[in-house]
Amino acid sequence: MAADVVYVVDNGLAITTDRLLDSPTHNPPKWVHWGTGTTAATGADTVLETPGAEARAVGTVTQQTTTHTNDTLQVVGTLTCAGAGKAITEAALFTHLTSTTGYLYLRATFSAINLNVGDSIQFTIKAQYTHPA
Amino acid sequence: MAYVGHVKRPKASLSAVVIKADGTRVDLGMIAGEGRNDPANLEKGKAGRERLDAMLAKEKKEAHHGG
Repeated sequence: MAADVVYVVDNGLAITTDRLLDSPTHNPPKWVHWGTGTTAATGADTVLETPGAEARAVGTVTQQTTTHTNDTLQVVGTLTCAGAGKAITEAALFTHLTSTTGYLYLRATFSAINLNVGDSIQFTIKAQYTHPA
Repeated sequence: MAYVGHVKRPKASLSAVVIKADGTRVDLGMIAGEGRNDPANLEKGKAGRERLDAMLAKEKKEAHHGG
């Protein structure tokens, strides 16, 4: 069973500062993907452990208010199970449709969600930025 | 802010809604992140997973019987 954890990974911190530049090299972290890896997410992750064969889905990116106005990045994206039924145990946000290492912003692991072909998961992913202490 | 090692990170969370092939929606609530263990969220997740498992068992039975 995968641990129920989610992290903006080390590379996600770099993506955040990149996006503050005049000419950022990264797109917004809006491509959602999933997988069947069960090793708990950590800040050092660079890829999904066992990515699904389905293509990444482009999510809808918005700013939301959790504590301070617009302090939270929200991405809502939906993936549909193809090929064969599977137990989804990890999800991630990337800044590119296909590239892996260097483009991971966030990875999560969680208890298995069992799907049949044609079933989908709509993920809502949030990252709240707050004042450094 | 969430701490991992000595790095402060944004506070992240992940919620999920399963949409069955027939359009039925099953809300699993927050499945990872701070707030996941709130009693109301745990109850929502438990109920959602039980409903989802029942649907999968029914589909498996129907597939077994060809129908």
